[in-house]
Amino acid sequence: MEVLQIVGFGLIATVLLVILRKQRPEMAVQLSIAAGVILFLFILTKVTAVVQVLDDLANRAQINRYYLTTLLKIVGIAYVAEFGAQICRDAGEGAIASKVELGAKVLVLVLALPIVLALMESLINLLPGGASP
Amino acid sequence: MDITQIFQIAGIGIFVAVFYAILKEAKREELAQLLAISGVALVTLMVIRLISGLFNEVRAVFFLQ
Repeated sequence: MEVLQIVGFGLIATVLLVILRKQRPEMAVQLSIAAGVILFLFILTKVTAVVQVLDDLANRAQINRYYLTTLLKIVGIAYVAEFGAQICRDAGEGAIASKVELGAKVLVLVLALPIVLALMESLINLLPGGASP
Repeated sequence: MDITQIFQIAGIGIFVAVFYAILKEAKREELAQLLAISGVALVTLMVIRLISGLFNEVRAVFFLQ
């Protein structure tokens, strides 16, 4: 099963990292980045399957594609930012990691604003008073 | 899930570490430093190729234009 591959890969990478961490710390950081990238490329094939199913469901339910793509964008931004921030934190750079996460939060907020506005609009229309009081 | 990349990077790292120690014993500090920097540069090239591949995949999957 895939989980055995993932765990085996992670263990091998960890052992190699422990060896490298003492002599060549800068190489160790790059090795951990490479291991993270390869692991996620493997997981990404599974994620595409899930995204396909979500897409089909959205189309069948006639949901506006814009909302689904925005949702997936937010998930993508969150993941990439967490990936980078975690690597920076592993290398000992907590300050840079928090800046990366802050940037990602702001981007997610910017992406989510249109949806919040649309929600407000629909809520206001539902009220008995209608748009204008 | 090709693990060859990981072994290549680890191999380069260990190779550089060993030869760094040898060159240090042979009183050639500058050569050892050069070797360390070239090792890091080589590994960075490999890692950058991996990262660009990852970002293209993420861009494709999550519609991040």
